[in-house]
This record gives sequence, structure tokens and C-alpha cells, in this order.
Amino acid sequence: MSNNIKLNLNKQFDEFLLDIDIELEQGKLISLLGPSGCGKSTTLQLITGLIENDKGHIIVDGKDLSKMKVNEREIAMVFQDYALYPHLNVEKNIAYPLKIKKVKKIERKKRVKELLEIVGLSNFENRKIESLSGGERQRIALARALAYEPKLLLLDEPLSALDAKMRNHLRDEIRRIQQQLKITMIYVTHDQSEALAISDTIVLMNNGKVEMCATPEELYHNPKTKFASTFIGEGNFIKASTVFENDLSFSTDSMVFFRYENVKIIEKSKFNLDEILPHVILKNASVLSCEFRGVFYIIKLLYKDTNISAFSKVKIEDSKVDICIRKKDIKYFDNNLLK
Amino acid sequence: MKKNKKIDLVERIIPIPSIILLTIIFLLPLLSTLSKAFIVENKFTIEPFYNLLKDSYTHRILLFTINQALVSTLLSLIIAIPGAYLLVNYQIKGRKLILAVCTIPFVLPAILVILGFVTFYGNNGFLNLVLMKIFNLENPPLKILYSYKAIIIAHAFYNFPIILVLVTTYWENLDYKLELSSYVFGASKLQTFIHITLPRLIVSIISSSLLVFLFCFTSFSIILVLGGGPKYTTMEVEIYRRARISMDLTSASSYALISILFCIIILILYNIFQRKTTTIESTNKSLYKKEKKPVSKLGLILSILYTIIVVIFVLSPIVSIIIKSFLASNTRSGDSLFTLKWYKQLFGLSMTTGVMKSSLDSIINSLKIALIVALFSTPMALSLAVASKRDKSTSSILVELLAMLPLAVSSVIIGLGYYLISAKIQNKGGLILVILAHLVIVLPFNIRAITPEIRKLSPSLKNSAMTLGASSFRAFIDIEVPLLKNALISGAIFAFAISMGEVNATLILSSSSIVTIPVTMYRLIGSYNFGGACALGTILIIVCSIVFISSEYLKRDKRDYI
Repeated sequence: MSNNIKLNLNKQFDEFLLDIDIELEQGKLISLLGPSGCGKSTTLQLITGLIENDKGHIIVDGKDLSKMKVNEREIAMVFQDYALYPHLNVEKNIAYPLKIKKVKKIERKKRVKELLEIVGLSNFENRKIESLSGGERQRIALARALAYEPKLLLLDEPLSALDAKMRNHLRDEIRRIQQQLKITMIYVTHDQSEALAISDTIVLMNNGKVEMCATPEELYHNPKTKFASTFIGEGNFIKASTVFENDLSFSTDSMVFFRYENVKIIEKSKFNLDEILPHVILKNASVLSCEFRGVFYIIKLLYKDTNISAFSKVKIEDSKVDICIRKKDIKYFDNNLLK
Repeated sequence: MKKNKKIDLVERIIPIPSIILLTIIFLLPLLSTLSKAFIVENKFTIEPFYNLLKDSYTHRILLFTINQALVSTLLSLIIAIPGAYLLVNYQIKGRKLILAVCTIPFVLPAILVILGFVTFYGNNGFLNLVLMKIFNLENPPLKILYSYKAIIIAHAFYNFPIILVLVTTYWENLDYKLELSSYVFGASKLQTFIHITLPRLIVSIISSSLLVFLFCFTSFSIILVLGGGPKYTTMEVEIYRRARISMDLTSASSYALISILFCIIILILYNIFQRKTTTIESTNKSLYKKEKKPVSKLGLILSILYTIIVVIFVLSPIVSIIIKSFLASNTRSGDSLFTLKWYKQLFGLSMTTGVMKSSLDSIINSLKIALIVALFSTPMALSLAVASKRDKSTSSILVELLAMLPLAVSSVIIGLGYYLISAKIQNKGGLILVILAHLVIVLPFNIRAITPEIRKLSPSLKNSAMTLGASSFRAFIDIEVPLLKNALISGAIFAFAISMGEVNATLILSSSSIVTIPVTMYRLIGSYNFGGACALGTILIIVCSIVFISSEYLKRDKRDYI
């Protein structure tokens, strides 16, 4: 029997249907990624039981939790606003789940000490919550959830209230702790770079449905839907007939997708086209703009009424250029699905 | 996206006992009042009520009630609005003083206002004494007491702080970005004030004025004593007269019904404007507060003047009571000398006669009643406030309605209801009925102390406790109740203070055997024993001061609930 987590979630709201059916491996960090309003947080609340599942199942360790009360599911959650208890100090906050479990006082103290070490805040026991910075609160919230020793740890956009630097740092910390403790985490974020950086698996969600469930690399290089291809990274999604003018094997509504970094702007003198086989060349594209982005420029082009964008390491001064795309970098879509 | 949250059974169950209890202790007296109005000799009839409605005497009383409430509200506005303007626009040194002084009338029982007015504004009061000394006059120059003027000034004294505090708070929290953008479009200061500030401010002025109007409409003891005669009779005074003096319970109940209907209309208007105040500003999430100008010379003079006037206006009646409680004269026209005579009489240390005899009993009674009321009303208020947590649920609307209803049904009418019940059970259960009446009167205030705090609690606090293994009830006890500690304590203290000072319902309900501090004070004033009344009043002032100071202290200790 596989030990996988099986989630079959169905929830009808007034004008929104959440419908999810996925299987996830234990001991991994799984990201739920998607735009706001796509149902990520609702998914977490369904798993915890804070919202009731209309039908389906939530199977963890071979047991269906969907009929159990919130406090019997052994699923902890780190809330977006941390939900630390302001009337308790750090130690009592972390010890709260242990107290509920009736763990002895001496044992509680020991566990809190260990957990504070894990999150890198040793000797913070007697600090008041209001004296902590955002990043410290975040770690305490994580430590408190870990103290519960949950079967599954859910994190609801845990870093959204922090500044960019702290976000990157804590993101790596969360990953480190997850790997150290081999705990299963479901991590909700709308930030694709966060998801790409730390996840074993990304569940890409849109409008209450799962668009794609794959490793970060797979998701980036082989997007299976139009939404998956455009939500992550930057790419062109245009009519196939624009690129393959004379190829009649494409129906009129076929689309092609290729990333900005795969569009090469040809400076005729520099390289031999025959070396990069096989490819397509689009001639005489007008240069609309050339935006500086630091490491590269984004070149906006107009080719036969179609907008195409490309990355370029050098500034493009010409008004017309030829571009070249390798065939293996082009993905074909029919009716929004990969052909 | 609408979240259709899982229904938390515990949150549903917690309010139920209190809702049932409140319904009984509130509806029972109300229904007995209404039945008295329409049931005569076991038969239903609308004739007495209809006759009363037609009666020109009724019309006169009703018109006078509206008239005095309107004029009182206007005077309150005249005192409050300049203060609000100064506080909002300038950095004023006296700011804290003004706001602190303004909270005094909130906790000051009406009977103290009455006594303070008698001792300060009376013919032999301190104001006249000072004026007589200064201008070397033989007769008191100001005849304020026992007149229309006295009623209006006392009401303004009582109510201007409501407008001042509400309007100032609202004005300060208006988003100043809108004014700035108006300046950017080239509007002048005056134009901006008229087109941008005033339209937003006016709803707050109207809603606080309606509240004051309501309080003046149902004002009772101030009119009864300071009005000084049948010429100045309002609805509430008429209810009292009919019930306790002419013993005409049917017409007393009919008057009560008319009063309730009027109050409901005022309350509906109040609610409409109250709702507008919340919608107007809720669209702006990032608030931009106006920076206050340092005061100009004129502003400085005006603000100092305003501070002095407010402080004297509010404090002088109170200080008069304390001073007078230590004064007595040996002969009728002799000078007043320092004495502890009244206090000795008060605590039974020297022989007394008349009303003064029951003063010690009344202190003990008042403390007993107030303590029980505070102990019962606070858990009740907490459990009712739980229902108001979920916005717009039926139970939350029900609780808000229940919390509002006692505003529509004045304390005089609640007293009348319990008086009718007491008459039915042959005057048994005296003290319990007083306690129940106080409970009904106190609860809305107690709920108001807790509801805003319980709404501030982030739902994730409780949710997180539940995901960490705590049951819903355990999470409520472990997490939410401790976070509401300050609100609960201040609610209980307020309940205690309101019960200590309650005079309206108690006066209607009380028999000679059950006396409280305010009732004894009322009787002492009636028998012109002002020294004794002031000594008893000073005891009440001490209790109210403790309340005032501790509520300020609790406010300061506010933590942010993240």
C-alpha cells in the first residue's frame, strides 16, 4: 500500500467551484502555486477542516480525515498572520500544543528548547511576542507548529508579510528544516520564484482546479497547459501559422509557445545559421522597444501583426531584425493543450 | 469569494443561555407594561390608549419632551463642536485634559449631576455666593435652578462630551488624502472644507446628535428634580407620576408605549447614520492623517479659554458636592464652618433622624446590588458578544438588536415593568427585582465594552489553536478569553458603576424597605438636607473616580492583537 497523501477536495461556493484530486508523496515539500483567488488558501482550510469538504476524501497515513474534527486531524498550519498568542510568551506559545497533548512540564521545556534551536532562536523562551520582529514571529509560528509533530504541516503564504531579503532567507530556512526533519509540508504561495526555489513538487492551481502537478524543472520546461506556460517564466504564446507560414499540418487555431530566452536575434556577421539546426527564421521583425533589465534587455518586436518578445544580452539599435528559434524550443498547443 | 465557513457549534451554543435569560428579564417587564396598557379588567381594549393619544395634555407633554431634547442637543453641539475643531486642527497642550475631563460625565450618575447643580447653581449655591461676594450683592443674581434653563444646562453638561469625543475621533480618522487632493485641484481651504470635509463629517455630527437627542428624550431624574414642577413634565416624568403618585397604571403604561415608539424611530435614524459613518471611511484602507498645526497666538488663547471653560463647567458641580459635604452652619443665616457632622450621621456615629437614618443601609444595599449585577452581567455580555463575532449572521443581528433595545426602552419604563410585576406578586422579591432591572439597564453598556474587542480578535488565533489540537471550547477559554481580559474587567467595572448610580428604575421600583445611595440622595434633596446628600454623594464620587481611573488605566494597557 502506498503511503501517499491523497486529496480529493470538492467545495461549491456561490460562484466558485473548487475541485481537486491529487496524490502527493510523504516527506516532501509541495507548493500550491497560483494567482490570488485560485483557491490555494481554501484548499488548506479544507485539509485542516476549518472549512467542510462537500465530498471526497483526505487520506493521510492510510486514514481518511475528512469526517474528523479540526483538532483531531493532527494537521498543523502556519497562518499568514502567524496567529501567535499575544498574551503568552514565546515559550508558552510553542508549548501550547504540548500542553493540549498533556505533555509533562519538564518535557515541554526541553522540547521548546530543541525547537528554538532548530529555528535558530535559542534563548528566546521568555521574550514577549510584541517584542519580536516579523521574521522572528514567523520562526516562532513555525516552531509552534513543529511542536505539535503534525502528520502534515501546512504553510499559508508564510512569508508574504516580510521584506524581500528576509523572505529569501526564511524561504531557505524553511527548506532546510523540512529536509532536516523529513516532514511533509504543503506550502501555499503566489510567488513563482519562491515555489521554484524550494519545492520538490509544485501543484499549479487556477480557478479552483489543478493545472499541472510536477517538479519545478518539468513545470518550467514542459508546461502542459497554456496557463502553465504563461504563469511561470516569460514566454511568447502565438498562433502557429505566424511561425510556420507554409506548413499546412497546423490547424488555424493551433498555437505555439517559446520562451523569451530562446529567441535569438541574428546579427548576420556574427554566426553561421547552419550551425544551429534545426530552426525557423522570422525575417524583418520591427523593433518596438528595447528595455534594460539589468542582466539583459527585453526586446519587444512586431512580426506580421504579432507581438514577440526576446531577451538580448546586448542593446539592439536596428529598427528591423531577423530572429531565429530552435525547433526543439517550440511547444505546440491545440485547444490550449499540448499536442 | 464568499467563504462559507464551517459552522462552529461551540460559538453557536455559548450565547444561547444568555439570549434566553435576557429575553426573559427584558421582555417580561415590557410585556407586563404593554398588557397593562391594553388589558383592563381582563378585557382587551385600545380605548384608554386611544383616548390618551387624542388628549391635548399628552400632546403638550410630547411637544415639551421633544422641545427640551432638541434645545439640549443644540446647546451640546454649540459647546462640543468648537472643541472638536480645536482638538482636530491644532496641537493643543490641554488636549489630554479636555479628553480626560470629558470622560467624567460618562461615568457620572444623574443624581450627582442633580446634586452638583443644586450646590453650584442653586440660589445658595457657590456660583451665586461668589457673584454676591464679588459684586457685593444682597440677593443671588442668578436664578437658574428649578427652571427650563436648569434642565437644558444639565443635559448639555451630561451630553456635550458624547458629541465632542465621537466627532473628534471621527474627524481625526478621516482620510486627509482627500483634502490634499482637493488642494491640488486648486480648491481653497474654505471650499475644501465645505465640499470635501463637511459632507463626510456631517454624518458623524448627526449620528452623535441623534444619540444625545435620545438620551435627553428619555431623561428623567434631571427633569424631575431640576425642572421643579408640573410645568416641565416630559414623557418619562409623566410615566413616573401616573404610576407612583396617581397610581394610574393603565395610563402610565400607555405613556410608556408612546415613549417606546418614539425612541424606536430615533434609534432607527441613529442606526442609518451610524451605518453611513462606517461606509464612508471604509473605502480608504491606507489612512493618511492630517498633521496638526502648531497653535497660532489666537489659537492658543482660544484653546486655553476652551480648556478652562470645559474644566470649570464639568468639575465645578462635582467639587461643590465634596466641599459642601464638609460644611455646616450653626444658625440659619450663619457662616458655614468645616464639619464632619454629615459623615458621622452617615455612618451612624451620631444620632440622626429622617431620611439620613437609612443612609448606611443604602450604601450596603448599593454595593451589594452593584456587585451582583457586575458579576452576572459580564459573563452574560461575553457570551452575547460571541454571537456578534460572525458578521451579519442572524444571531449577531439578534444580539445587536437586544443590545440596542434597552436604549429604546428607557430605564423608567423598565422600572415600571418591574413595578407592575412586583405589584402582581404582592411586593415580594424586592431586591431581586431591583437587581434584574439593573441587569437589563447595564447589559448594553457591558456588551458595548466587549463587542469591539472580540471583533478585533483575528479568527486565525482560534483557528490555529484548533489546528494545534485544542477543541473549539478550549481554544475559546485558552486563547480568546485571556485576550479579552481588559475588556471584561472594564465592562464589569462599568456595570458596577452604572448600577451604583442608577436612580430612574430604582426610584419607580423602590419601596421604603429597599433604598440605594441614589434613592436616599434623592430623598435627602427632597427634604432639603443638602449636607447629608453631599456626604452620600461624595461616597458615590469616590466609587465613580475609581471606575474612571481604572478604565483609563486599562485603556493604556492595550496590546496590539496582531
